[in-house]
Amino acid sequence: MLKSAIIIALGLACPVIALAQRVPPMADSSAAQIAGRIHSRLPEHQRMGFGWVSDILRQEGKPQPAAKLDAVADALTEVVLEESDRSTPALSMLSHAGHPADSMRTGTPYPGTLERLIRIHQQGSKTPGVRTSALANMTGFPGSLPYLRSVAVSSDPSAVYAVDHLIAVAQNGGRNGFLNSHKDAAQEILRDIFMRSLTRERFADEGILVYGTSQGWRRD
Amino acid sequence: MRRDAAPAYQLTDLSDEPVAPPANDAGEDEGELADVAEYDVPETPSDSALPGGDWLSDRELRSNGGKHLTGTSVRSLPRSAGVTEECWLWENVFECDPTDTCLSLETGFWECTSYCVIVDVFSWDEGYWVYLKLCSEMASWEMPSGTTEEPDFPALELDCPSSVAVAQNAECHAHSLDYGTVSITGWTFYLANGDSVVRTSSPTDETWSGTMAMGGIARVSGYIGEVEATDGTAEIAVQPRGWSWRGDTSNVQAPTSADCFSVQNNFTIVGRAWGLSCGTLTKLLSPDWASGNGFTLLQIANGLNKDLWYVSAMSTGLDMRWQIHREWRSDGWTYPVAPRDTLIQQVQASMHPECKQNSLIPVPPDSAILNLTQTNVTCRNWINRDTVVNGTVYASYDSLVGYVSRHEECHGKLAIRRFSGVGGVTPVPDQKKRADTMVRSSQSNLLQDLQDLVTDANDSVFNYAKKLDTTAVLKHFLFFQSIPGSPPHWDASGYGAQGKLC
Repeated sequence: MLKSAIIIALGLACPVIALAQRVPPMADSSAAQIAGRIHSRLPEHQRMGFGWVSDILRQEGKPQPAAKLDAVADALTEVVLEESDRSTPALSMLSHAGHPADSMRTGTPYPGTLERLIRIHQQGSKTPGVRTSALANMTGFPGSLPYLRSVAVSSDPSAVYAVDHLIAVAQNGGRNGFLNSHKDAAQEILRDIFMRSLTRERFADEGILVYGTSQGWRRD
Repeated sequence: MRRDAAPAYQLTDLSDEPVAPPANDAGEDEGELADVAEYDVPETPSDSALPGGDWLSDRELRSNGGKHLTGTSVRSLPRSAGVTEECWLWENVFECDPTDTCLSLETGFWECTSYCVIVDVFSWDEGYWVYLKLCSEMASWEMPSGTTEEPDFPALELDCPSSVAVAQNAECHAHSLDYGTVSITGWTFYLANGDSVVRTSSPTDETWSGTMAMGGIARVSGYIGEVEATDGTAEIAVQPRGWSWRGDTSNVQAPTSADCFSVQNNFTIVGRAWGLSCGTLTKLLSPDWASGNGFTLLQIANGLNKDLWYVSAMSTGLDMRWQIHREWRSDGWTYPVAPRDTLIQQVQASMHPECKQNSLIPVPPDSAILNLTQTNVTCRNWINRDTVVNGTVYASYDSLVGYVSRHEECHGKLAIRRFSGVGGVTPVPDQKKRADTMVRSSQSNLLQDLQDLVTDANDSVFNYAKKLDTTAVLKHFLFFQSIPGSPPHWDASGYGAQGKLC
């Protein structure tokens, strides 16, 4: 009689069950549960990326309370401010959540994105890094021009990037042309900075000089 | 019938008739990716306990004109506590006759350093019943006749390529080794990121194929004859295409016909280095990713990765250009020279022959129109001549142009070092390598991620390349230039260069 036993589990993990179309995973979970998943270091969770968080923030397929959205966005912002290799994907999806709906984007834009991008620029430590990435993403949001201006005329090491992003808005409407209707406003900000010699950081100063001169502006 | 677990082999007391084991019996861990083996060294059973009579060694089999078994793949397994043998599971076992004509069998066997175990699989509701035989010598072994009776539950086999590259096609084919007509009821592909693709178009086809961008596990369900079969599963790995942007660089002097900064009467900026996007300051990589350029994104229309978006092409690179501003070149803008200018007085004293020959300055000198190069090189002939003023050494005009040329070219060199990791510099992440395997469920997500990855790299490259620019004046130059005023006039001017060489 054979008394021994062999128990062998072969093969592959049973994957996560298919998700219902257009309703992101954890959409029905609490903000705390979602935040826990966002911060999770488990490989199977990290493999999911942050696209599903953006879908929740855009209320894809399911309306969400504003407080829950803010808590989820804050959790995503915390990941960005970790300044780790997960920061860029988190920043991308935070920005994506706030962009206007168009042919590529569905759902409702999350209104708190710009506020958090500003927070990332203010609280981040890496230049270049999450601070400059946050500035770059601001060019997708109409309310960003005053903040970009304030950075451009500061002595912050990211000032030259802010000047360049203002130029990008003036010339191309910023990220993906989101600010096409704000080209003139950006150009006026740049002209004011140039004419009044407001830049204080060395490279921002050179940048506005080159741009202003190329535009035919003359300082008296 | 369990549909959510991979097939598992289970042994039982061979003296008993096969019965269904208890539900959720040990050994079926749905969350485990790694193979798991737990076993004690079994006692040798009496041959009479096994169906099919004596087993023969391969040598004996061949000498008797019998068949032998062989496997097409070997998988190493971890040893369990207390087991010292190194063991392998032989899969895809074939039964071969002496002419090496082989027939695939629904079976497999274990081979350890001190014994081997032949298993014969009988499908059951919660897994498989297995018969085994311990062997005293290592060889190929024949499956005893009479043990390969038809399983109670037939199984579907799924043949898929184990590995394909991104953007290549993968085709999976379902079939069965068991007797009966195969009827497929559905397909699912479980993506590596946790999502899944459920086939909705022609789900009863025995073949499922499509462009691949993300790996995972294919699963097919169906019937063999009238019996619901055990699902067939197969893993498909998706390999990168080998993308890299490390070599996508250039650093050249732009021709005078392609001025990036072309504004007259600006004597503060002598040279510039930039990427192909001339109008921006910090964007060195190109094309303009912030406008969505440089990426070709495709959505997979059909198959195992249906609806996923991936990057079919990416052209982002670092193409640096540098240039001396036109004011400082031989084709520079010209400015009038008046007889009272210091320039004329000095030139008259020792007018260079070429200046005189070309009548750049008429004699008598009433008026002329000159650019910086004509004035300082052709007429004033300030070539390779240092001038000392109050203890400070001022280099000549042509030295200035040469110095700035090298400085601007160095910007490009530094940028490339950071971009490509040459010269011992820690490179920025190879975002094209990342893009190679990037897959998203939406176009906008994919574009956003790509743009931010390139932004990260670009900002870092720019920050590294601008280290050459300094706030301190590192070198002094002296030359004649047209001084704006009323009226404008030419006079000698001292210049300080805020930049260094690489």
